[in-house]
Amino acid sequence: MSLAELWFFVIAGLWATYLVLEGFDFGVGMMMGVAARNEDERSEMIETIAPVWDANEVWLLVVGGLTFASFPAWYGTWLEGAYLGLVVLIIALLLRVISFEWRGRVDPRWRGLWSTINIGASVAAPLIWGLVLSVLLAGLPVAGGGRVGEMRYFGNILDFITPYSVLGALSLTALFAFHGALFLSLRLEGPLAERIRERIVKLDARHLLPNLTLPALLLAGGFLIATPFVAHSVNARSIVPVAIPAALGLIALIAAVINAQRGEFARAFICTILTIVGWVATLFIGLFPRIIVSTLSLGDSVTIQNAQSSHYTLVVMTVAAVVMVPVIILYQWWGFRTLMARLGRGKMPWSAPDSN
Amino acid sequence: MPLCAILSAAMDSLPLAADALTLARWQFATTTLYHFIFVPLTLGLAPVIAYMQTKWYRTRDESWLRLTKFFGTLLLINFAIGAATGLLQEFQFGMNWSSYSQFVGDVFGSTLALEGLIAFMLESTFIGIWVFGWGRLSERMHLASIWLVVAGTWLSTTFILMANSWMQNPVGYSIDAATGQARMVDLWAVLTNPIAIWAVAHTLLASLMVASFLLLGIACWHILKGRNVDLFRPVVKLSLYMAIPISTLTLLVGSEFGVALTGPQPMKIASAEALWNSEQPASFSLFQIGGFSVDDQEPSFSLDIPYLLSFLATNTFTGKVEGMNQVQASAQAKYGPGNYIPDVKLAYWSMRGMAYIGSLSATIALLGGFLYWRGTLEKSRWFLKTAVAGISLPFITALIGWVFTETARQPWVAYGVLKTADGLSQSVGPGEIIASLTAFMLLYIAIGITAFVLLRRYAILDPPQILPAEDAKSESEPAPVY
Repeated sequence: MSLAELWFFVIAGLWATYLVLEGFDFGVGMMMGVAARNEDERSEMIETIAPVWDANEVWLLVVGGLTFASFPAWYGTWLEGAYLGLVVLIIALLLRVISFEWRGRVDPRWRGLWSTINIGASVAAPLIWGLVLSVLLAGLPVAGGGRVGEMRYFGNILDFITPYSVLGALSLTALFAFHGALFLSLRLEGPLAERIRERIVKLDARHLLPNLTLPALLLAGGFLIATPFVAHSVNARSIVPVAIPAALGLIALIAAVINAQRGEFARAFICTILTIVGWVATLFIGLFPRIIVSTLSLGDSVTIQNAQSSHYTLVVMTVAAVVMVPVIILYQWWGFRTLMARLGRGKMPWSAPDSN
Repeated sequence: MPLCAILSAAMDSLPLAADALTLARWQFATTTLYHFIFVPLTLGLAPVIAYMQTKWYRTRDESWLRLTKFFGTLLLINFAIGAATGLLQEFQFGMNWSSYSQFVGDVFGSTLALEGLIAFMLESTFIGIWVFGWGRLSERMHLASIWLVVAGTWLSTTFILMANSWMQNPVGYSIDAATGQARMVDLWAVLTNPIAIWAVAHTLLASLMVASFLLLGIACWHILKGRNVDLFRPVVKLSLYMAIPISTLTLLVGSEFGVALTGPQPMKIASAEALWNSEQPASFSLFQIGGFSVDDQEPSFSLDIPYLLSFLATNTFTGKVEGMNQVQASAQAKYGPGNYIPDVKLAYWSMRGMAYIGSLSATIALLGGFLYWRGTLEKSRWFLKTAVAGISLPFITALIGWVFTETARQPWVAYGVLKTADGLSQSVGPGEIIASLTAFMLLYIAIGITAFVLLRRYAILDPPQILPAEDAKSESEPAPVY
């Protein structure tokens, strides 16, 4: 495996980290729209992610920066192509950050507005991420540009809308809603928590809406099953290597649903983490060795080979990542344990033993 | 005067029929400047708050704890916007400047990646730990967390300015013969870029200036209203101890920064002085009318100080300073035909705007120091009012500084490596940029107004009382209230 190929999978791993972490933040945002009955309940929900959402979002800047450094041609072509989608995404993320900070500070009259903004952003962001990530495999009109070494995008934002990428968008969003609901099941207590557990996380025949288990199961399951075939037909991949992570993701997804039915929310939450990792792994293994499949001709695709940085830069980035990523995980883990354990009563899988 | 001139010069470059390049530049300029309203305040305020908390930790004097929490709230409101608008900055390189990203991402992207890994993650994680750690962490760990935030923000600035300084003075790279892309060959050279070292020093000093004037202004406001006077008296002292040396140092370092830039970017210095032909010795133009374009090289009126420009640009009174005509000729010989002269009027007035307003701030600081020494500061209502209004000055200075350094580098995006026009995303048309620019502007204006209202409200609030039993516990923490 070349260094650039290794970096392709490092970037995939960072995407998985980001999506797992910000995924439950987005899910909590969605739950504010589905499960909360008033603004006080919404405040209770936000408090569960208050200490960590900022640190979670920084993973996006890290994955962005590392993609820029290790695959400049991927970074440029992809973001240029997704221009209008990313404008919406950035506005959503910006408003969401502001809503966290200001919801409790402004006049109470405005609290509801900021909640609505937060809910809207928490739905919009995963939809766009799901779309722009899965369209890498569905394919975009990309090819070499006018200058040697430059990749260009020859389409517009509508090229991002394909059946597969729409499935990607919906599946990631449904998965995050489930992921976030499980997170809240763990972190909250009282009637609000009961409502989430009984009506949203567990499959209840009387309350099919707004139940989140079924959409997550169908959409994310559908995405995991479809990906090996899409990778085979548009990206000339053999089915088996892509089907392995897909199958593992599917097992994790089913295990999440079963554990949720049994009231084992901590286990179910770990299973949704693994499902999100499986979602990313299946997609990226389906892409390998290409990064953006070209719809013009497969030979025009942005590949690991033609998008990579110099060997020197990749070595620098490798050293930096090998040193820094464990350090970051260590202090974030410590922060999570310290703050999460004592802030709320819900017991998290990682809670420190002294939590009550 | 300089402000009006800068605005009119900026407006001149607004084309009637907007093309994608101009629009993309306007979007980058406006969103970056906006981002940099909040960044220097975070950079300057974080160490001040860390200092206040350390004071409390050492002396157990409760007033320092109250001040820590009071200014902590301002820091948090500000930090949120700075971080949120920073996201757009990173993504914009790919979105609007795809060709730039592809041609220099190998070097430029690396510095951004290092910033994320080493610095931004640190500051974002520990600011959360600091906010929610009151009473939950040991006091020592909690104090350490705010200092780690300071370390994170300062390191973050260092890496971002290394990236920018690479655009100003590309080092440590070679051009790939096959593809024409810049490839990093020497990380150490990128990290120790002499321009970066000056830029970091100048920016951090300017940020401390911003914070010291905010402290001074807020403290003076409270004294003016006769509220919390005992609490804010030490803040006046602290802010003056900061502002007096730092305002002078910022100017001096800025001047040395100019000397350092004369080598790599002679055009920037020549255009900042509207110096068309080389002079030896060169005089410094304080103020001039006309003389800002190729067709009008002689100002109709000019107020000059002999020898001063030679000194500012070369550190000797008789040094030679190259003029734009000479630099243009050598640039054409080196890079081929083309116009290598930036917007001279904008460069001239933004340079002066920065220096003059910076000097005005230094004067206010000195005046404050004098009044404080005489013991009449609290009674000098005119000074208290000046100090409140003065909060805005270092912000304006910092923004004008960026206008200068970025516009006077044109037509290059990476000096001598890639022209701005060649860095643009090819498939993003004017319509899309008009849509995004409008959306960002509306959003930023709304956020700006809310931010101003919130910051103002918390700045004039009485600092939180510390209940004896609570001490540092959560009831009075500067945490966000959801």
